[in-house]
Amino acid sequence: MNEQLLQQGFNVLSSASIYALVAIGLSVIFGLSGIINIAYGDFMTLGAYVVFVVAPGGAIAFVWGFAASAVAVAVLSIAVERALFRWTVIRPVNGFLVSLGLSQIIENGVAWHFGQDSVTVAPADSANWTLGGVVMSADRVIIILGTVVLVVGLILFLDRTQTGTAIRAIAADREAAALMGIPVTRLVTGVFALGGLIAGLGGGFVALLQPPYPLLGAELVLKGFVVALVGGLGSVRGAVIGAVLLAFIETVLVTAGLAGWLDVIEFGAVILLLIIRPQGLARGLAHSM
Amino acid sequence: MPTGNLRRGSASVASTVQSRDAGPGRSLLSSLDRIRQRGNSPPAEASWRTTIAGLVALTVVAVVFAASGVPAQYITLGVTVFIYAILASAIALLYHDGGLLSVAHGGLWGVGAYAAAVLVTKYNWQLIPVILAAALAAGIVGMSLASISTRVAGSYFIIILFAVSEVIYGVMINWNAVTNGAEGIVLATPASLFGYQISSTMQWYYVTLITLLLVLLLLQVIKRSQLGQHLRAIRDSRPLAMSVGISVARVHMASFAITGAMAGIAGVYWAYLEKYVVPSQFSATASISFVVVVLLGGSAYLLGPLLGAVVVIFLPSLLHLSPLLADALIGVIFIAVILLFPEGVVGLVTRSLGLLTARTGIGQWPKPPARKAPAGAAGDAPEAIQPAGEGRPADEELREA
Repeated sequence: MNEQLLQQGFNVLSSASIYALVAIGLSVIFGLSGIINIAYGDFMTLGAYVVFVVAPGGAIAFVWGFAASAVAVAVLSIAVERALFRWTVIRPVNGFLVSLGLSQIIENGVAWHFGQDSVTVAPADSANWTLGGVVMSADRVIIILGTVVLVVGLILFLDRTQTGTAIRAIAADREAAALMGIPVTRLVTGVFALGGLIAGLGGGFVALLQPPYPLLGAELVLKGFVVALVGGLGSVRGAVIGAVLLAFIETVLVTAGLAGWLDVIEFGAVILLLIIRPQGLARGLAHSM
Repeated sequence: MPTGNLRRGSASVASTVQSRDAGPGRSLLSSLDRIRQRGNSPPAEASWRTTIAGLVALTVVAVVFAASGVPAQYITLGVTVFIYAILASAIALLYHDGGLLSVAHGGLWGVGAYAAAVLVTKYNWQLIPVILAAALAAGIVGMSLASISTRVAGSYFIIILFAVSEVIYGVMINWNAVTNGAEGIVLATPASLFGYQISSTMQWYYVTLITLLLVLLLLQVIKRSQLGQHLRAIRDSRPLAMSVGISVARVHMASFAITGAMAGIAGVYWAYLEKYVVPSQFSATASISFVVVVLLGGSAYLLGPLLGAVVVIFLPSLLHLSPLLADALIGVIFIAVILLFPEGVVGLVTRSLGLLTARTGIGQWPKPPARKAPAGAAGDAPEAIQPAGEGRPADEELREA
C-alpha cells in the first residue's frame, strides 16, 4: 500500500513537472508584458519536434536534442517578440490576438510538414530503476530532475541577481522601472528568450513522455493557464504549487475511475473557484509568501 | 516584498453596488455616446440609413451570387459564411460594445447544434420549435457567463472562458446518453418549416441569409437601445457605470443571453448543413477561429464579421490551397490585420474612403488610432499601458472633446 502511494507520488511529480514548465513560461511572460501567449503551447510542440528531428533514435543524442530545441525555440521567441509582440504593448489584448494567429500558423505548419499523426521518439534511457519498491523510468527521473534544476535556477535568478531584480521591477511598475534606468525593452526581449528556452526544454521533456503530434501544445497550454491562474499569474512559486495540485487531483480522479470527466471537473472547479473567490488563490499566495 | 513574483494586477473585483434607478445617468450616457461619435473611434452605432443600405447591399449581392449559376459547392460555402456571420456578429457585439472577448461562443454554438441533433433525431421536432429550443438552451448557458464577466475582467476573463469552452466540450464528449460521446449524432432528416421540406443547399442558403439579416437588424436595435448604451458605459468605465446606477450583472446577463441565443441558432443551421455533429467541431479551437473571423473583418462594423467569414471560408478554395496551408495563411493575414489595421478589413476600407473624400481633413480622422505603438518606442511607452480588455481608452476621447 505504502509502495503504491509512493509510486503514485512519483507519477504525480513527473506530470506536475510538465504542467509547471508550461505554467511558469506563461506566467513569466504575462507578468512582464501582460500578454496571454496562447502560442506558448505551440512553442513546446516545436521543441518536441526539434528533438524528434535531431534525436529520433533517443539515447545520448538527446543531449543534443535538448540543446537544439532550447536554442531554436528561444531564438524563435526572440524573433516573435521583436517582430510582433513589441507592437502590442499598449493593448495586451492585441498581443493575445496575435498569439492566436501565431498558434494557427505553427499548428497548421507542423501538421503540413510532419503530418497530422504523432511521430515516435525513442526513449533517452530505457532503464527502469527500482528504489524502495517504486519503479522509476529513467526518462521520468530526467524530467523531474531537469524541472527542479530549471525552477530552482529561475527562482534564484529572479530573487538573487541584479537582472532578476530589474525584471521584477518591470513587472511591478514598468514606468517607474524605465525611469530608474532599467533597459525595459531589452529585458522584455530577454524574458521572451527565457520563456522560449523553458518551452524548448519543456517540449523536449514532453517528447520523452508521449509521442509528439501537432496539437500537443494546444492541449497543454489551456491547462497551463489554469495552473498559472490558480497559482497566481506571474508567480513562479505559485505556478509550481498549482502544477503539483493539478497533477495530484488528476491522479486521484484517474484512480477513482473518472478519467473521462477529468477536464470537466478540473476546469469546472477552477471556474467555480473564480466565481466564489474572484481574487483567486493568487492573493492568498502573494500574502503568505 | 514577495520575491520571485511577477504579479500584474488585472483581476478587477466588482463590488456589489447596485442601485435601481438609472435616472440621472441617462443623459450623461447619451452625451458620452455623442462625444465618442465626434472622436476618432468608429461611431458607436451606425445611422439607420447606413444600416438599411448595408442590409440591402448584402441581400442584393447574396441573391445575385446565388442566381449567377456558380458551382454548387460555392453555395454550400455561402451557407457556411452566413452561419459563421450570425455567430461572429454576436461575438462582435460583445467585443466592440461590451469590451468582452468571448472564447466560449464556439461552445454555445455546439449547445445549439446538439440541441437540434437530439430534438430532431429523438423527438422529430419541426424547424421553428428546434430553433426556439436551441436558442433558449444556448441563451441560458450563455447567461451564466455573466457570473464570470461581473467578477473578473481582462486576461482572467479570457482564460476562464477558455475553461468554460473546455467544460462544454468535455460534457459533449462524456455525456454518452444524450450526445453519443465522441461518435457524434447523424442528422440526415430534412427540416420541415410550415409544412415545407427544407433539404436542398439553395433552400438553406436563403433560410440562413434571412436569419442573418434578422440577426444583424436585431444587433443594430440593441446597439441603439438603452442596453447597448449601458454595455458601452460598462466597457468604458465599470465604476462610473455602476455609480450612475447601471447594474453590471443585469446588462451582462442580457447581452450574453442574447448573443448566446444567436450562437445557438447558428448551431442549429450548422447541424443541418453538416448533417453530423461531433464534439471536436465545438472545441476551443472553434471558438478561436470565430474570434479570428470577427477581428479579421472588424468588430465595429455591421458587415465586418460577415466579411471576415467570407475571407476565412472562401480563401482556401479560391487559392486551391490545402486546408492546412490555407489556415496557416489566414493566421499570417490575421496577425497583419491586428498589427496594421486594428479595425479590421472593413475599417481599413472605410478609412481609406474617408481619406479620399475628406475635403479639409479637419474633423474627419483627427489622428491615427492610439492603439498602435509608435515605431521603435513601443517598449518605452509606459503611460499607455493598460490591462487587457479594459475597453477603449475613453478618457482620451473625453480629453479630445
